[in-house]
Amino acid sequence: MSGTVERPVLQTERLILRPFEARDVEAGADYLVSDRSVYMGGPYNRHDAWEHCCHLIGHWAVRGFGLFVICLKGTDEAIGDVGPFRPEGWPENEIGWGLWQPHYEGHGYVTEAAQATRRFAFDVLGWDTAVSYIDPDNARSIAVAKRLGCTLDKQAALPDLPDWEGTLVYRHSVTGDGAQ
Amino acid sequence: MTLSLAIPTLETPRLILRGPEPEDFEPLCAFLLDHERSWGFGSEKDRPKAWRWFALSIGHWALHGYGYFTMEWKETGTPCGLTGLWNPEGWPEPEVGWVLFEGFEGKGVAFEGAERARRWAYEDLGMTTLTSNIVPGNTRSVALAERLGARFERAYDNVEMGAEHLYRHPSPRELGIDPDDRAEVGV
Repeated sequence: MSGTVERPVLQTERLILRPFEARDVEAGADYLVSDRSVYMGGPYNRHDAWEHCCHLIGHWAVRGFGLFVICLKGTDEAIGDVGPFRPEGWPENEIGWGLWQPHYEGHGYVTEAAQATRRFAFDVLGWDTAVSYIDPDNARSIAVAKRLGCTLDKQAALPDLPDWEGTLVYRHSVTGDGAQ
Repeated sequence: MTLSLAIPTLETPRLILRGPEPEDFEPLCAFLLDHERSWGFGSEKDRPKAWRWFALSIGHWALHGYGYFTMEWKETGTPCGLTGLWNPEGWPEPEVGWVLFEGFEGKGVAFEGAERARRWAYEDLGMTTLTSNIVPGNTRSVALAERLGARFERAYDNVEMGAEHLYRHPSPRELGIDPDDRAEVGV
């Protein structure tokens, strides 16, 4: 794993999406220790949050893909993370997302970013399907999944992990890009 | 754009110390899930948690420029344990750590690897002091720390492991490593 890993950078109309890296760990950890991470298994303590972010960097090295951070064009501040995710224990590939700062809500940034990383997963990584795992109480994320054209898949397997029972599985379609 | 992990390869008479590779996951996972073997290091309760630790150990290199090497037994090319420098958020200071996978105890492997990793920290990274955090009762690790010349300094509460004893390693000067002679290292 020494050497280099290809790190794609994606652009959308308003956003730059770049692979999660060392300089994003502090902002990512700030999110994970906050109440906003309640649907992501949080809030974490600072040590666990730091380790979780480090593992997102390692995910790129091991898998060759991973979560991107979301930056508004013209800035390099990461305001969330999004993209292809496949840690050990996941029964299939996921498109995940999290918006770290409340004041960036309501602009459609996550939908725009998730669409771009989904296209990357389908076109570049060659995935033919993907899911998003969402807590049933996470109304904002469910709304994003619907805007992305996802449909609820009640047959899909969940990661075999404690406390995952009841998690909703939204399935992405490779054919319909489905953004509204 | 690429992610550059500048992980060096180090050598001892019997070992190669190198960056983690995907094929290291299975032996590492077996170790982390075996509570009898890994309680002093930090056991994991399932494969997903073990993989998360593996991935974060790689991310640790990206953040700090140091981390855990996989120790490879030269004769067979088999991963036989980990050693290196560990300093996640909340740690008191960088520490030298070591673990052995099954079948490699009793050969002096951990001593050989940890001594090399410590020398790398002093000679190449320019560190001036190092510690090892040991869970009370881990007598094998205490014995190795003492063989490496480390001495008990204090008890403290570790953010992940709870009660731990901090051992202080000899300084570079005490080990005869003159910082002025340090090799120039490009990272």
